[in-house]
Amino acid sequence: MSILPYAGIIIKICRAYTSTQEDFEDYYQEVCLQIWRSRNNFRQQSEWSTWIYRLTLNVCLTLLKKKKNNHQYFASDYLPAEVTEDSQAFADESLNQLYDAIRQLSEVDRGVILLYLEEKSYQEIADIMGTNPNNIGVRINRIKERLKKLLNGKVN
Amino acid sequence: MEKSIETIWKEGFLKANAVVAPRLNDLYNQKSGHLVDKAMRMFRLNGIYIIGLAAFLLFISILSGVPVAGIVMVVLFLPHIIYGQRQLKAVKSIDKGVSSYQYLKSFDAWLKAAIAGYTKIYRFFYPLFILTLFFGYWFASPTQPITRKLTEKFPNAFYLVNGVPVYWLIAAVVLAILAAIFAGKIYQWDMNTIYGRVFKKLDEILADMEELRN
Repeated sequence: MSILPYAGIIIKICRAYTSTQEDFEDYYQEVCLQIWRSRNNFRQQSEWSTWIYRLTLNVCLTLLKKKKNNHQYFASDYLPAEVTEDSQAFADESLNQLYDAIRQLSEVDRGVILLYLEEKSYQEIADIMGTNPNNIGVRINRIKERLKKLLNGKVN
Repeated sequence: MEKSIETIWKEGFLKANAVVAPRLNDLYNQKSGHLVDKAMRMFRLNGIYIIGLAAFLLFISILSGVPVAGIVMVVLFLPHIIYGQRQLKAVKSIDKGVSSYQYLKSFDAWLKAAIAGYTKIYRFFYPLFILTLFFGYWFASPTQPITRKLTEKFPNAFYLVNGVPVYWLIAAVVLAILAAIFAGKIYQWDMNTIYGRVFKKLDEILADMEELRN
């Protein structure tokens, strides 16, 4: 089992939980490290890809960053309200703007919308997050409305 | 024409450099920044520090002619070491591949159990440590000239019964009782200073997930 085919999703998730290139690279490395360390825990009760999604999200949700002032915070504590250093991470300007908006969502909402955009079913999203599939649809609609507002109505 | 969020996502990632993976540097020797790994490192180091400190105190107490105080200190530190090892095993067993809710719940439960366990240990450790320090200091050979001078100069303040200064013993006992009563608060304050924001963030994420579950 290789993580190479899933590097894309790891990148997509890590980008949503970080605000700088440096943090993003740290998160990516950390996720790869945790996948490598936890690989023996994979019990084939789920797809390898689902396991990767879960682990990546779990690592991002609970990763600590040691900042210069020597305090320990969650990366998202540092996200400014508007534009982040990572605003030019992608070649596509609209995608950069979308990511800036996603970064302003709560940690849980970021996970939900990323999985939705990756075309996971409500059941799969609920399985990965450990939530109720019945509430996922409502939450996704709410998140999409919030994103539209954050993008100043530039999306339909 | 305005695009949908889904279209922006799809089209954006079709561009060539959209998902360039960073280079992985020396993964085998990477120092982890993850909470669970940090906790594991913390418990491992804590165990080593405590063993070192206990050995140092035992050595000093033997040199000072109060080996009993040193042995008591070692015994006092033992629950820390044993509990730390148990917590290390428990935190190692947290599976990062389960659902986010289960994972955060397991981590939160472990964190709360570890804090509760340490609080219980400190409730006994603080008072006994204070009393051992008091008796150790009073009866240690290197401090004898000082204590002798003090008792001669201030006989009223050092009312001795079997060589023990009663008033000071009462003060030490009161301090020990206060330490036992406030052990939980002191430890909680200590933990909040270091991990307060992490606890708060975990609580927020869990509350959000629970809302999504119900």
